[in-house]
Amino acid sequence: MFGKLMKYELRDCLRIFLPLWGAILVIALINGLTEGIGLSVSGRLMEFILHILPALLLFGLSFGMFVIALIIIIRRFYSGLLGEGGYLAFSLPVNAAQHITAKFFTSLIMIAGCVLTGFFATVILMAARGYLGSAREFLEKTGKFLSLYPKTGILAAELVLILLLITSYTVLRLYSGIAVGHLFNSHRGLWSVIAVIGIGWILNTASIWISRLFRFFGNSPSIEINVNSFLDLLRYLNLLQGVFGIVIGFLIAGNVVLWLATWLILKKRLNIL
Amino acid sequence: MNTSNIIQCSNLQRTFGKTIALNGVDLSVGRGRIVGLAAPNAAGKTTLIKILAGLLQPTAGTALIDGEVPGIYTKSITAYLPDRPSFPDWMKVQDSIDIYADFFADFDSEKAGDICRTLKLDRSAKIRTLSKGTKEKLQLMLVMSRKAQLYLLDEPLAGIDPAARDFMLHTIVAGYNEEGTVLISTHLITDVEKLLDEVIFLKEGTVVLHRPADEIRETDGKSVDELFREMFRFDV
Repeated sequence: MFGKLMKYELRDCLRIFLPLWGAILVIALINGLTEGIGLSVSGRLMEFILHILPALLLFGLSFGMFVIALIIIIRRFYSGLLGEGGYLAFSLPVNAAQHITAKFFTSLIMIAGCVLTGFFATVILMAARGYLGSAREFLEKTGKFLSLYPKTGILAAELVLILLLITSYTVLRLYSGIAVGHLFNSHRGLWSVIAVIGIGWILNTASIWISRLFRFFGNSPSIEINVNSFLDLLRYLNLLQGVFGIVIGFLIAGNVVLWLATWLILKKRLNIL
Repeated sequence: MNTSNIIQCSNLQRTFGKTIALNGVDLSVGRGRIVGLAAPNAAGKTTLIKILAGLLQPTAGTALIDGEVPGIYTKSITAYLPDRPSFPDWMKVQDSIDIYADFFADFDSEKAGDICRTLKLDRSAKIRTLSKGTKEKLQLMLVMSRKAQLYLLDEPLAGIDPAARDFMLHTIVAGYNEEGTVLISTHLITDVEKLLDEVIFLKEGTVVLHRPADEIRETDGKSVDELFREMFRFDV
């Protein structure tokens, strides 16, 4: 049943996102080509049409893509599951955990799609303008520098994991807030907003207190950062790896708490009005 | 599971803030029956049906379908018709059929196709292009194309013109699984009276009457509609 649920979730989202992603890539190409072919133009209007308008369009669409992603993530949970759409969703022989997980994975896939579209739009722009060689050179130099530190791979993997966990934390915070808001019989939108803010505050406060407890019991020394040499930098990179580990731990705990809260509300207190 | 009663509610309560929607409902409904759930507006009909369908959690008490609390199993044997359109507008008629065929093992695609032809429903039509009445017919068609053990029909005749009501009633009678039970919530009793085996009257969230329809007619010498009007008459 989960696979079927994912099929309908993805189809519903892709029907909105595929044209949007396509439009951004096409505009990136047009933008790059108009800059890259060295067309000699004269006149302010031509300058605007060939150079500024495509750039504005690309910027607007890219920004709009993430705004639309956010709106769709909220709408699909708020009205698609806990509003009007709940009449269909909760009459299907599927449990609350599967509903939340399907929506959650679909949201992450759509966000990943937006990031990839942004990345490819940038690559297209750079390729069309002939900057790809410089970019490759920059990446090679950065890679050589980072290869001096043996754990670069781990650090990079941790960083990617942190970004992924922050994204999922944001999505789950929205879900749990909306789930709390749906318990109210009126002004659900308002209560959802208050709940999203409140949940964030509670989790932030909890993480501060937990880190204080660790410091109290662990008696950890304060750290002074003082970089004078490359060896110092490597030492701090090691330290950064440890800090990333702690951040990942906190984020995983936050994600689990938010998922469980959403699941418990939908399982025990479902309130489709 | 195959308990003798398909629906079993005991001391079922549901409140919305200070409003009491269900106030200790005790109810047993057997199999193979067509049961009318009649009540004035805001007496708890939709709340009861939503709890049975698994869309609402009761505040207290229990509601069991085939001996189980509403969940995956009960939803797989229950065909629920909500009192409003439940399919997203962007979907096509065929998409709604596909969803039912994908998720419900007891869905009869051939039967759905037959009803679609009778209704002259274009499968490629977007749901948003259908009229309100046609949307309701589509939903009823999907629900009645299942061989369910329990049909929960919430106000299937509300907002439908009298000519279409006959079609809806015909779809219900011709379509339901005869070993299953149909629970129809309505206040248009005259239209459904001839179909009913049993009648349940709800008043202020409590069951005030649960009797066979024939018994009412024979013992009380009244139609179900007349009894309903008598019991729920507003004194002016």
